[in-house]
Amino acid sequence: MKKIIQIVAIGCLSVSMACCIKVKDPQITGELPPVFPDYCGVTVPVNIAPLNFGFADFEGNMYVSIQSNKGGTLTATGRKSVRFNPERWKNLLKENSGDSLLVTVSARAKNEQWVQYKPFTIYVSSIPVNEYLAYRLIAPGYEVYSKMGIYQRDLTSFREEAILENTLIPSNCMNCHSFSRNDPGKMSLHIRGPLGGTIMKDGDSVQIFNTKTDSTLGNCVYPYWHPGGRYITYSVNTTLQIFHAIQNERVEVVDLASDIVVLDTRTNRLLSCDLLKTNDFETFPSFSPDGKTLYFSSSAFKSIPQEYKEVRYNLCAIAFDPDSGTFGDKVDTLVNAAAIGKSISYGRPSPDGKYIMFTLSDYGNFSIWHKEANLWLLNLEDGSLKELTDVNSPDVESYHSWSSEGFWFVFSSRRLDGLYTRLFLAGISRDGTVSKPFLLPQKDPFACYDASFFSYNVPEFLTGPVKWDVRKMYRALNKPERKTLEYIGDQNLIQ
Amino acid sequence: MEKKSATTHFLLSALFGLSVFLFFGLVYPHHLHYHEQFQLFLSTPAYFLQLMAKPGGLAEYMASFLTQFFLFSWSGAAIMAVLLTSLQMIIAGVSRRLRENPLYYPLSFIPAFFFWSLLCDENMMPSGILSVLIAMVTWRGYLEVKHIGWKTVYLLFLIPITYWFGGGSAVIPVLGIITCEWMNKESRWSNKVLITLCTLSVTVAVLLLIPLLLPQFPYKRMLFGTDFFRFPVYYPTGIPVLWGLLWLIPVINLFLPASLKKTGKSRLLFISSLVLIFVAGGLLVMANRDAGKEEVMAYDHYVRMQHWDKVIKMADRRSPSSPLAVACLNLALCKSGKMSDNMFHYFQNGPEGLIPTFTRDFTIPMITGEIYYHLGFINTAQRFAFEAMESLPNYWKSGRALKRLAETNLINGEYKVAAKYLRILTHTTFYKKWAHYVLGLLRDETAINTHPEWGYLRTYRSKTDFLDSENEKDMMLGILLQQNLTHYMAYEYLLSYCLLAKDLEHFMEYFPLGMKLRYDTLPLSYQEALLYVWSLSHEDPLKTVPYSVSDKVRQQLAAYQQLYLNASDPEQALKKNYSGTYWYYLHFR
Repeated sequence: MKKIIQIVAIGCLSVSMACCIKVKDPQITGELPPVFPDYCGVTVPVNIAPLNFGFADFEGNMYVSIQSNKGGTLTATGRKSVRFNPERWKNLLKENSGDSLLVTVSARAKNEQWVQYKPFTIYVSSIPVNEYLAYRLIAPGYEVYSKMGIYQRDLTSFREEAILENTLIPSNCMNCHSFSRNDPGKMSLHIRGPLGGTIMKDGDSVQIFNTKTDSTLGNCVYPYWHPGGRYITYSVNTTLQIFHAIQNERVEVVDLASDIVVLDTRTNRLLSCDLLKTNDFETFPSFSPDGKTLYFSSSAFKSIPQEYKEVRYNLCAIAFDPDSGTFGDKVDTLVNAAAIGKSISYGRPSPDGKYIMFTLSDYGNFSIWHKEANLWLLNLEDGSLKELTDVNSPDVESYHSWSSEGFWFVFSSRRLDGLYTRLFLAGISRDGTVSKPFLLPQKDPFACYDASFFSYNVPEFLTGPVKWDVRKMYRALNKPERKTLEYIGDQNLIQ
Repeated sequence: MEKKSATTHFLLSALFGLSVFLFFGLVYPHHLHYHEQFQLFLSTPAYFLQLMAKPGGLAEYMASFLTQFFLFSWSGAAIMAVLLTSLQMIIAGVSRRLRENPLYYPLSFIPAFFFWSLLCDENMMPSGILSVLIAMVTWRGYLEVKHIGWKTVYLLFLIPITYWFGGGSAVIPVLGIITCEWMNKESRWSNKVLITLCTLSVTVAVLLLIPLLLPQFPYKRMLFGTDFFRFPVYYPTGIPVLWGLLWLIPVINLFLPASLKKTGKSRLLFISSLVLIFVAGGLLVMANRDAGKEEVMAYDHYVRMQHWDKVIKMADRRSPSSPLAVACLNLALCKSGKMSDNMFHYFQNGPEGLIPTFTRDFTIPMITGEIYYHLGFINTAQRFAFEAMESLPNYWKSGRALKRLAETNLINGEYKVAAKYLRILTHTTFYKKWAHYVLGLLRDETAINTHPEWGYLRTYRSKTDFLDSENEKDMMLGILLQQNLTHYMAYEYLLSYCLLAKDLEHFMEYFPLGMKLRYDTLPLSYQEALLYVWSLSHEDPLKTVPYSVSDKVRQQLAAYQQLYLNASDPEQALKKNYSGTYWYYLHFR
């Protein structure tokens, strides 16, 4: 219903405006247009939705013309922002795959002369991005949560659909959605609250687990699927939220204790070993693309909350044998961040296994509340480290994940207003060169970002949409039954 | 005769409306303020579409629009009066259309009184009135359609529309139409069957379509559609009862005689039923009224509006007893420079009545956040405003909280996010002007620093980092005070906290920190505490006490001690003359 009303209204508005806006005797300026979102000079995948944009705090008319080297032109007009015709946009990008587009923006403020800005370029990469992106929408709050949900967005259009919203299960929180190698058919999703449980979707089969065992610290969180699809690694954490009194700082989420476990979905066993359940803090695990290494962040134990600023995580690795579900007998430190007074979270290997992208902050692991947090890249082939200066900003960059082809990645950033997390996409070549990131396109970027009370978090690419019967899931969640897990904490070490 | 009757009916409705108006204007004004602060009506297409995307959306949208006006209690009272009177009049309209009789008009007041009594619950939403009004209009409209073909068309379209606009109240016209059709002796059997089948099939189709159209909502909630209650997971039994009444009252007229033979009897019946309904209705409303909550809401409203004198005047009339109300009073006393002199003249219930503990709801953090804000704990005030807004069970937003968030971010120099909130507020009716004004000030450091409120708070806010601790509020106050020893409120709250916690050791430790505040005379409660502490360890304390304690206080302590030691029931003996002293609080509270 909402969509139909929107389409009719927008259609009428567009037709009426397109008929009446014409640029007359523009004043040419050498400045780039102050467009929001900033799409000047960005590289986009060939299958991305239209990059609609506008001017903030502007009242007047806009006229935008996009020209391609192959002769095609796409125009759009609007009052505060412009919306491109989706079909024509799609065709334009297809025709110019691997080439660039030149965007000329003209604008006339109320009762003033037209101004034509310096044209800017949009590069069209021939590499398509995964068609869907899953994320959670939630207000960037403290302890209490209001409406939230896990959503999937079709990146080739503006269609956003709820996978699960807490309108269906009020008073419950949902998080930790994770997919096996971007496969929408294999999903893990955690529900916290009265209907709590971990939903495990494998094709049409959906099971709900209670992942807390007598031997583990808590429910399984921060999941990462093994590339083979049999295992999921999690951390189990006892966390605490603390609140700052000073401006520019708000929240710390700290672990009082944390370990790492691996769930064997075939046997419903939680596997761990002494090296992953030490007195130190271990968290944010992930598997290498070949499935033989488990990466994680590890920090020396500190007393919390007294020493919360002394908690610094290194990037570590331990061998994993997928056939036997056993772990290596030693932990390697890949990046000793603590030695330089920094801390690493969210180590995420690229699909080709060459890189690990991670977030570097001054301390702790919950980097979304750290303005200094930035993205870095570890080259596993030569061991070199590189700060991704092309995508970082003075504000937070935190969670990130890779598209399955390994060229595109998405990351969350608070650069727009310092609080509300937004998603940016960027391309990264095999040699580690990164393109200028672009904000996730929206039909109306002002309504979707500036007027929204939601943050986007934990973005994960998907090769297709998640399909499930949400009513069936609702009924299952409302039943008290939860599958339990057997904990095997002393998995034999690989000799 | 008919004209006279119409005038009588109009006057009765006007009397009912006036009663509602006076009730909400005089008895329950702060319940209206309470509703207003927990909504954020935005004049944007997105807001309209957001609400219209679910059944009952139009009722919620219209109610949200009207609730804005509850910021001013008399306009809110007028709206409530118009809505409830409209409901009564439309019930009367349907009843009259079914069968005019002497009782139809008095009976039409029953559902209206019942709904009025339900609305005495602060969580019963005004959207419910709009929901049943939409439903009753559908029923009323149907009664005007004569041709069976048009009736069928009307049902096919209007029932789904009524459900989508007004939610589950659509059950009223569904039942009403079927009942009336079967009770209508002039209607043919085939028509009765057709209308019944048509109504039921549309209803069943709607019921089957709900889970397909709205998979992300519980089915039961969608049956209600409009959120009648602030907690959408609860379905008060009053709602189905109301729906039942709205169906039954018009239908009951079908069984009543059209007129009584003797006009005198008819008039007597009319008057006696009217008196009975008004008296019973009035009693029902008064029985459901919650004066205690109204009092707390009043304190909160005056604190929100910074009407400190009204808070104190209210407490002078009747000393508050709930921690929230006492906390409001203490804040008002402190802002008026009277806390340390007068706070024990009122009932005190410990540190909870100074700074209540955080709870995950939408009421307490909103009030407690005011205290933190005025003290200069800007981050804590921001957190409490955010948490209060996020705790709203219907997932609505709060204009009051959003305004506070804009302020705290402005004070903290977080201009981008402050601007975001302000831009949202520019789409409201009553916060718009303020939002435009503040948007104009953003980044103007001089203007903000010299602003009487924000400049003051920038001076005294926390500048060194520490972690909030609910269990160590005195520690937080101490750190805040240490950063600026001229912070009067921090000093007063710190010492009051110690006094209320009966922690005289820390009181004595912190007391010297107030040297820079240069009180003209030592506040009364401090004098009492200092003299008392001195008396515990010194002989002849009245003569040797080294602090600036007045003779009156010295004499009072001597008299107090006499009674305390010698009376058989010292609490009762001291109550009359000494209940306003710190000593009495220390010993008996």
